[in-house]
Amino acid sequence: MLNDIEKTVTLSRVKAKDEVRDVSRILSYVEKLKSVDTSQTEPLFHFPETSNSVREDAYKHTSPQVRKMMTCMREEEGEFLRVSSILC
Amino acid sequence: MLTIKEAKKGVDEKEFSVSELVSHFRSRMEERKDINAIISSFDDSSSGKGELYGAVLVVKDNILVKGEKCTAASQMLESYEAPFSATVVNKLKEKGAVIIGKANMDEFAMGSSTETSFFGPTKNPLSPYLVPGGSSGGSAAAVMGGMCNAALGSDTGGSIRQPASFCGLVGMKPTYGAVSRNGLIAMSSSFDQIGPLTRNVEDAEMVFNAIYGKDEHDSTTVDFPLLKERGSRIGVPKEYFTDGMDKGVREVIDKAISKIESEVVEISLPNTEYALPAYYIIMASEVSSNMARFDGLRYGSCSRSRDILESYINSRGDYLGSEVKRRIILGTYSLSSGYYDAYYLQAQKVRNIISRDFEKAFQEVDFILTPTTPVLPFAIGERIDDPVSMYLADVFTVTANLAGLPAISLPCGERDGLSVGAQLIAPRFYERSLFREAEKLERLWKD
Repeated sequence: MLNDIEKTVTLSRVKAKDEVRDVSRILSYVEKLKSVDTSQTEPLFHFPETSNSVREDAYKHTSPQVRKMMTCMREEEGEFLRVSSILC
Repeated sequence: MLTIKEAKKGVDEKEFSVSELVSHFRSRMEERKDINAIISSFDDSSSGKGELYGAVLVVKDNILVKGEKCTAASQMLESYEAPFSATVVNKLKEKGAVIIGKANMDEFAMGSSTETSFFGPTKNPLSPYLVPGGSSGGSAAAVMGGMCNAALGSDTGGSIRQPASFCGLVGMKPTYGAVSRNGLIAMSSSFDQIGPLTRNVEDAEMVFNAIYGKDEHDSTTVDFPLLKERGSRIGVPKEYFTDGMDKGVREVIDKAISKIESEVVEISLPNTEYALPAYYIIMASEVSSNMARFDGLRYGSCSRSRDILESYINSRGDYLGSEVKRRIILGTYSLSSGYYDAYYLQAQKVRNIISRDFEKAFQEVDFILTPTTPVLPFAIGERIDDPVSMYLADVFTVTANLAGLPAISLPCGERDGLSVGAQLIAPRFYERSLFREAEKLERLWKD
């Protein structure tokens, strides 16, 4: 199990060490879920009153707050935002 | 220590002004800096009219207030400035309320004690060695510490109700879909709800009335239906009275129940023992998805690295706390290929079974009454190194989030100078009846 958790740490894109042992203990605690017979049950992903909310597929101008949020990106080159090298 | 109603009366009758109230509360924040309830505070003025004219609130620091820092008590968002206000903030202000501070919390709302905050723990105003509960501990401490007359918190697994219980307040989690989450930093999107922490039930209802409603910016909100009042038959589930409960809490709750004049019957919610594990799997899975946006690029703190993958790993590793990382890893594991069916899907099916237990019970009784939490407020540092023991503090509150039900915690007695909270749960969208019944119990338990 610890091996699988360590692989998950890589998938999670987060540097972690002591947390791996804690996650293993939490997984042991939640194991009891497997004993519940759910063969006749559907998952409850949404509550019944919720329905899809749609709008017209039409262009809306970019609101000023979007530009403001993007200023959190550190380096701009004209219209572009610089990120670290993608090819590792 | 004014309630909203008292403050409103004072302002309407010109005994004092809103700006005098704001000055008073901000001085109080300075005086009680030792509690560490507030991350940032600021001035605000009222629109001058509305049902909440006189209300002075703090909001949990995962609720955006335009132009103010919104940190979610994390180093990752230490300098983040909110580009817009949450829907609930706009609604409060339209009704005349002012907001003067952002309350401390567990980091990204992950915790039950307000000890995982990057800005240090909040102390319980009733005793400085004890936790105020979490994750809305700062909100609770601010109200109980006299720094505002009400607060907003968020509740994913009990994070409004449990701190309310620990701090001797009323804390209410609305029906899932009743209150907009637009402008709330998401933790677990199928559980999160914003709700009030107040000194009494009447104030909680006033705040709820201001913030509920369908919002086009949150597609999980619904038009609040008009439902007829429920009766007063109360069910007490035997599975919530286990040996693991603190003896003192048990005695206070039993005494409170014995005072109830309307019919009280024992009921069964047979799958209760699976609620906490189901909650932790689903919640962690949704957390792992919601936290993916914190990549050190869009906003937040960044650890510069030679390539983007290292940048993600280091930024998230350096600027997120341990509890957040634990839940991201647990969630990623539960959703990964080979484990999805056994963990996430299984948990969602168990969620359905638990929800149906409640539906069945509500055919027999009008409300369900439980202790809010099995323990009295514990000492700062007592549980922080043992995640599973920390999670057990939420064992009675997570069920209402799993089933999307409205639930309110109110004080029902005291033990060793500390308050004990009782939780009342109603079916979905029965908030009106919930508040009526809670007011009756509040009057009964006041002595």
